Amino acid sequence: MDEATTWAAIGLMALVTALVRLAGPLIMRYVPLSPRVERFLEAMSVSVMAAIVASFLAQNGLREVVAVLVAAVAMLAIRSPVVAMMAAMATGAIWAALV
Amino acid sequence: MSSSGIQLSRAAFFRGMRDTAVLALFVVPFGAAVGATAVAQDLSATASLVMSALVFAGASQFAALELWVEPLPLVSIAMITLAVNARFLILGAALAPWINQLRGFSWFITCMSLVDANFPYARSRLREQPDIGALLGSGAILWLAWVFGTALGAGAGRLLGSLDVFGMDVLMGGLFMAFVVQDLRQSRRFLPVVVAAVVAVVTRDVLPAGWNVVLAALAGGLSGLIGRAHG
Repeated sequence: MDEATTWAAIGLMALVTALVRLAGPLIMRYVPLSPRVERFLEAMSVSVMAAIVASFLAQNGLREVVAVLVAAVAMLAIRSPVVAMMAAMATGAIWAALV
Repeated sequence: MSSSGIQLSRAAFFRGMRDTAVLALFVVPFGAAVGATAVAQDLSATASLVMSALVFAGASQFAALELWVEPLPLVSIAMITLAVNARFLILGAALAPWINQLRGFSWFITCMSLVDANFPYARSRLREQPDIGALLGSGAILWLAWVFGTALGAGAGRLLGSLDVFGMDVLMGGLFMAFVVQDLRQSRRFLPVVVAAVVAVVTRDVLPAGWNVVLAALAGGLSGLIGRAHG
């Protein structure tokens, strides 16, 4: 593999990712913060998390759905996101081992 | 949401690191997976490390590595990286009320600290206490774990077995579900979550990789404008 193009590719990936990380706050510099904008941002921030979960479940099967539901129940019961995450992982691991 | 008077303290930074430590521990095997994948695609260990250090975005690194054939398709690699990481724009915009109170290098490095894994934490911590150290600290420990993991994987060469056995593949799904539940419990606003979930699923096959999440986030955000303003 050509060294120069490898580094060019890595550099491109880094540049693109950096620009996209900066773009969010940059765009918001020009958008004045009104109550409507605040509500939009709040709704959007929970939406992006819900979208990631939904997208993940849509491309996977019952095991993943059950594991994520376990995380939801664990969160309601224990109120710790990391514990809920570990409950999901334990479910996923046990399922993979037994099913 | 209160966003006045942003602080940046060492205490919040170290608390951010501490609060994210367990998650960072689970990020190490993910880093190892990307390091091993990179080396399997003929990157040198150094190149793999540099990629993880500079890009710091696992999903896009895996996606780009799938395209790593000779001759390297630079444009496709750049585009898939942009597409998969487009959601960072949303994350940055959501935290902008706090981030944009910073200037210069602080602003820049804070933007660069943002990744999926620390977004929910930063979002909830900043509401309690507007100290951007929380985001920087959680980002720092995740970055260290990511680079360390990549080094392990690149060094080891090949990982034995699938990550599924340890439930690693459901880590993100579980964590994010927990934060969605937390938000629903506090806000009782279900519409954005439902809208976002539906849009994400329905558009997944018709849009390029990652764009369904961006569209779903925007749709969910807009749906948040419907109904009574909450106090």
